[in-house]
Amino acid sequence: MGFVANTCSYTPYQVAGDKGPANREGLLKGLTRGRLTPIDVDLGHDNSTGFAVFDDPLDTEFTEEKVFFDPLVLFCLRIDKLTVPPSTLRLHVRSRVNAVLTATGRARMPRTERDEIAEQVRGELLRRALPTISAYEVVWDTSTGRVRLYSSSQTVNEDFATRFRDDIGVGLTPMNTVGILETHFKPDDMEKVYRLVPSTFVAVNPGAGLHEGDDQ
Amino acid sequence: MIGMTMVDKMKRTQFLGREFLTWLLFRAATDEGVFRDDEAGEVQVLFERAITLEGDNPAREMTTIKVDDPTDSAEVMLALRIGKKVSRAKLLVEAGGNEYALTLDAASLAMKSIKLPESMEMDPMDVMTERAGFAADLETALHRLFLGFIRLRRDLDAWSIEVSKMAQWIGPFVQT
Repeated sequence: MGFVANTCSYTPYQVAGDKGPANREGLLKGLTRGRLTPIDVDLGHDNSTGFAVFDDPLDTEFTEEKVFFDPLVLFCLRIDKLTVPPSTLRLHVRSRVNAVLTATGRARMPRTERDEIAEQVRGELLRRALPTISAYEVVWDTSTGRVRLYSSSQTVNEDFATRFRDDIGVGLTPMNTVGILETHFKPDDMEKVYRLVPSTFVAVNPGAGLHEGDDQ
Repeated sequence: MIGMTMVDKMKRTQFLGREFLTWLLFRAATDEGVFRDDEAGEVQVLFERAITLEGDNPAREMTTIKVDDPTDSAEVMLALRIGKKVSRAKLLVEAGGNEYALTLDAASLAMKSIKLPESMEMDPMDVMTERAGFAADLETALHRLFLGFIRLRRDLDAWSIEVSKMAQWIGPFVQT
């Protein structure tokens, strides 16, 4: 469902300020600052999110040749996730718990100790697991100032907008109902829009008023 | 209204998306969905196959109807007569001599399953640039339609006349 796919889904944004990046070097630095880093299981993480190269999401080394395709700026948002299937975890935990019980000559184990073992086993299995990689294409059209993220997931979009602002240093306005209105109407006009109340299109009582009201 | 968060703003304008899609359906049924704009030219919006209508409580009052022509469906009209509004629709948009298919979600005007026109370019870079242009043209066409609707919506007299026409088209309320 990406940029060049026959059918795609994307979320459009309008950049704040200039239509394109202030300078190429600055954008490359921003992408490098926000690039994907390996998942650090030792810190208790099971996922990692960051920017990667458009053509090859396994590549996180940004150069002008890989990013700038005038008038387009191309990269992707990559999300890596490590998971251990619950049934696999359950089997390994049971095995480890039994081994500890046998070694200590006990018949039962307190809940807290079992939970600690489960967490330890999960960490060990995560270190052996391969991450699931999801790459969402980002197309920044510098001729219009429009950025398109090829994902309609709310979580992915929120994370993307935050990273774009923090790492690349450019604010994004999502072109949703509010974004479309606020980029075209003045604040006073927006106040009137926010005060609108829903209309009724069906005549509940023919001959009576057909809508509930409007601008206050 | 000062100090509203984005979430507050989205909540306050959600109903406008549903009214917009319902109005588009009305225009598609009665005026062939043709909209003329001095700047953007002519845009035509047609409804295709799948349409979802919601009442005030979407969790309990949501209907998805799959018919060849939603503008000529007794089921769709019945849903409108019990007070539901269009919350999602598959649309065919003709703008600037090009044809676009998409699913439009009323709550945020999110576009999904977008089918852009086929590219005639051979070079991959030219294809990508052309597709970015198609996407921009589609967004411009839809945003202009929505802004036009909001201008109509804010004009008390004009909107009152439009609502009367829509009520006439929908027919009398049906008690469920």
